[in-house]
Amino acid sequence: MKNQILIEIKDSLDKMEETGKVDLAVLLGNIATLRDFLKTIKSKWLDIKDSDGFYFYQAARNVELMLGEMERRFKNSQKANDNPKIAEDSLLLLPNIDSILEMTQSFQINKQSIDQVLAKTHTLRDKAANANLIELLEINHQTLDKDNLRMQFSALMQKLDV
Amino acid sequence: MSDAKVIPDTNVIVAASIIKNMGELGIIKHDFYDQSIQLFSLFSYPKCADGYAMPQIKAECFGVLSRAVKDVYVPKRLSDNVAKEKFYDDAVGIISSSEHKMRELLSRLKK
Repeated sequence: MKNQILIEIKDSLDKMEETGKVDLAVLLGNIATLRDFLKTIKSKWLDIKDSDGFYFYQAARNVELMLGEMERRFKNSQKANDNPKIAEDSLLLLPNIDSILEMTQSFQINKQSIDQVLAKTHTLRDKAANANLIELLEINHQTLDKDNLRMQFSALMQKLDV
Repeated sequence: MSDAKVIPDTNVIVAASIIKNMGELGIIKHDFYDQSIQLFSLFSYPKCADGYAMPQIKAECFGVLSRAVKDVYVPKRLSDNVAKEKFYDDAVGIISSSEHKMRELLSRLKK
């Protein structure tokens, strides 16, 4: 299913890049389907008892955030005159998204797979930042539980070996 | 103008990345944020030194940050998936906002 959705998204983006036109409803529908698929992946990682599963959850969550930003830009693309730039930018991320989705479905947790998924997440975030598809900082602030965060930060500070 | 060349260590870059304005809760930052960020001021105007980012350090920063946040913030055993999701999402948020800052710091370093 994942491959089919990615192919459909890529076709829509290629078309948009070439002609400047796209059926936005179809494209947004496919992005929504991919986001639903990501929810099932995240849910499976939550079921995994090993807390190192977090790194794979993190990778899936990052893809989810990028897709959210993609969706936001597509919805505003006409008003913001962001077409076909948004298609070009999105196309840059698709191979990395595909690679992360592949990896987060493997359910192999070891040092090598953790290193790999962290590297892939880092690469995706780098590319997304260059393509203006990284999540806005405001989104990060909204998702944080501030009370809990304040308590945990002091522990975090001591954890780092500086 | 000095010819000094500085290569910040991964932990210094990570420490200098952790600062957050929490509104009414005030600003929270890494214990070594002030010391670490001062090093980066050497690379700005008036410039005292050139900072360099070694490819390996640049590549490992995100992993070091992710592992540190996960080790402290995410409980080892949590059977309640709703609570676990909250912890996971918060941890991703902390890592992401710190990484925004880290990206800006790394952009001040030469390759």
